[in-house]
Amino acid sequence: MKILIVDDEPINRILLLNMLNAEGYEDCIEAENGSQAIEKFKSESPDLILLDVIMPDMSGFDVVPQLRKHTSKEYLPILFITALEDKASLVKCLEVGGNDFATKPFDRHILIAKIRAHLKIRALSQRIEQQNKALLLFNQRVAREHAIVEHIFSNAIVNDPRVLSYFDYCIKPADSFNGDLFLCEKSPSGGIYFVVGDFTGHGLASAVGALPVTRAFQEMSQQGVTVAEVARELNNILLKFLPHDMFMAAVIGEIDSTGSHITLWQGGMPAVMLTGKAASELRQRPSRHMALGILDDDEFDMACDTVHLAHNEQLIIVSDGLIEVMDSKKNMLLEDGINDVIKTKLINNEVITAQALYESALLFNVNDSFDDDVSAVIFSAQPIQLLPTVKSQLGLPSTHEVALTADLLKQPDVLQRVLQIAGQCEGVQSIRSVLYTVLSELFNNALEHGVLKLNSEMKSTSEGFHAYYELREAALKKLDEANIIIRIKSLPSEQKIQVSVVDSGNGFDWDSLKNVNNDESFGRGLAMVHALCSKVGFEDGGRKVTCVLETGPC
Amino acid sequence: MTITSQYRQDGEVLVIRVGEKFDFSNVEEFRNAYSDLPDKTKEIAVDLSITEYMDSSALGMLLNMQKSLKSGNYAYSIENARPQVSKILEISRFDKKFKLR
Repeated sequence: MKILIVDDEPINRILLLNMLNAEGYEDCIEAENGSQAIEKFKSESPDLILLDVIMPDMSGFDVVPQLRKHTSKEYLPILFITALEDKASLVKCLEVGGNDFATKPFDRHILIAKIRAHLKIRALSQRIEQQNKALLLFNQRVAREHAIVEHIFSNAIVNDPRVLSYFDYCIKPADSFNGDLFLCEKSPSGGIYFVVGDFTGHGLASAVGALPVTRAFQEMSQQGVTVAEVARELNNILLKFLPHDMFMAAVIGEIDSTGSHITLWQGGMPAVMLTGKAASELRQRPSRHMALGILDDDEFDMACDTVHLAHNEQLIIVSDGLIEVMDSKKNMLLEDGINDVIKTKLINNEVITAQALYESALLFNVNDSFDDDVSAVIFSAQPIQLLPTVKSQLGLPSTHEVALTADLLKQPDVLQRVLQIAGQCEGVQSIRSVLYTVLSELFNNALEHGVLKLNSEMKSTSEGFHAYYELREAALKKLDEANIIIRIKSLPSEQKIQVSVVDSGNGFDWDSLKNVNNDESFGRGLAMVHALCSKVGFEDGGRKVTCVLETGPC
Repeated sequence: MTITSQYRQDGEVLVIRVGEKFDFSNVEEFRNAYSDLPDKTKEIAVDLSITEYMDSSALGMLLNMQKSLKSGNYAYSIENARPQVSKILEISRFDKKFKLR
C-alpha cells in the first residue's frame, strides 16, 4: 500500500515517514505543499493520504476537493494531521471531504490503527469495484448471448402467416424467452397440423427444447404423417434432448381440409374446450396422456381423439399459465374457472377471443402480471383453403425396383420395408396411405395367389378365414424358389405414381374376379385397387399387374 | 402389442384400437381382441385413430369378426379413421356394415 505524506515541515514528514516505515509501510512518497500533493497524487496513485492543514500555498482544506475530483469509485482515505484543536476545524476536516483526522502531537498507536482501518476499507472497496466490473462484463456477455439466441429463435420458430391466419391466438411469455410454443403447418392433404406446447418452467432453459420440436414438426407436417406419429416422434426427440426433470405438455392436432374434423393428441395440458350451438353445449375434453418427454417409447400411448365442429364452432386451447392464476384469496382459476368464463361470455353473446381470455385471467389474477408463460389458441371451424405451395424445384422422378426371392419373402417385415422405400418417393406425401394400401394389396395377391397358390374362397367361413392365414404361413415356410419384383416409379411432373408387381406364379384370369360380393370376407382387394387407381392393367397372363395412382398437386 | 382393447361405458362397449398398420399380420391379435366378450357388451368399436393404412385383408378381418360373432347381435362401429383410411372404408361400402364415426 502506497502512502502520500503532505506537510510543508520536513521534520514532520521525516517523523511520519519513520513511523510508517517502522510499521512496515515501506512505499511512502512525500509532497511539500498542496500543488505538489495534487501532482504526486495524479502520477503515483497512492492508497492513502496523510495531509497537513496549514501550508503556505494552499491549505489542506483546499487540497481535498481538488484530489476528490480525480479519485475513482474506489474508497480513497484522506487523513488530516493537524495542530488545530478547535471543534469547528475538526468538523471542517470531514466536511471538505477528509475521512479522519489526528491532532498533533499525535499518538502513534492511534494513528497507525486508524491508517490500518482505512486501508482495510480501501481494500474492501477495491474488491467490490473489481467484482462490479466483472459483473458488468458478465451481464454484457449474457445480454449478447441472449440476443444471439433470440435471433436464432425468431428465425427458427416461424409460422406461415397464411396458416396462422386460421387461428386466433394470444401468447405472452413471462420472460424474454417463451417456454410455451405454438406451431402450425399446412398438411399435404389440404388441412392444418398444429402444436400448442408448454415446457416445464419458463425462460431460456425451457425454451431451448422448442428448436428440435419445431424442426421435427415441420418435417413431419410435410410428410403428412398421423397425429399419433407426430406425438410419438416428438416424445422420442424430447426424451433424447431434455434432462429428466424437463418435459413438454402438448396438444397436437390435425385439422382436415373441411375444417370440421380435428384429430387431437393431448398430453399434460389443461382440457381443451369446444363450443357448441348454445352456451350449454360447451364441452371440456381433458388430456388423456402424460406430457411428452417422460415415457419411454414402449410405454408411450399414441391414442388420439377426433372432435367434430360445426361451422364457426370453436376449439379453445389454453396453457396452464392462463388457468393457474390466483386471486387474493389464493383461489386458482383452473379448468372449471376458465370454462365458466367462456360460458358467461357465450351467454352474453360475446365473441370468444384469445385476447379476451387473457384479459379475463389477468382480471382474476391478484398480481398485474403472470409468473408463467401464458397461451391461448382458438380455432373457429371453417374450411381450410390453403393453396398448395408452388415448389420452386421440380420433383425428382425416381424408380425403385425391389426383387424379392424366397428368402426375402420369408422375412416378416418385408412388406413394411418395401412400403418405407415407396414412402420416400417425391410426390407421394398426399397419398401415402393409399399408396401403402395398393402396394400391400398387389404384394399380397402376388404372394398368396401367384406364388403360394392359395385360394381365397377358403376365407368365406370364419374358421376358414383363420385356416387360410395359417396355411399361408405354412406354405411360406416351405417356399424355396420364387420371386416377386416390385417396381415403384414416381413421376412428380405428371403427378403420378406407377406401381408394378410381377410374380413367378401361374397368373390368373382377372376378368372373372371383377364382381364383389359385399358380404364376403374375401375378394374385395382387386376391386379396391381399381377404385383407388386411375389405371390398372394386367399382362403376361395375370403374372404382371401395373397400376397408376394420381398424386394430385402437392 | 399393436392392438389393444379396453371397455367403455361400464363394459357395454368394447373398443379395439388398431396400430399404425392394419393388415394380415394382425390376424391373431385382432381375433384375440374380441374373444371372451362379457355378457353385458353390446357394441364393438374399432378405433382407427392411429392407423395409417389398411388393406383388404384388414377389411376381411373386420367382416370375419362380424361373422364369427353373429349370434351375439352386437352393434359395430369404426371410429376416428383418418381421411385416407376413411376413403378405403367408403370405397368398400363399409358404412353398410359398420357405423362410421
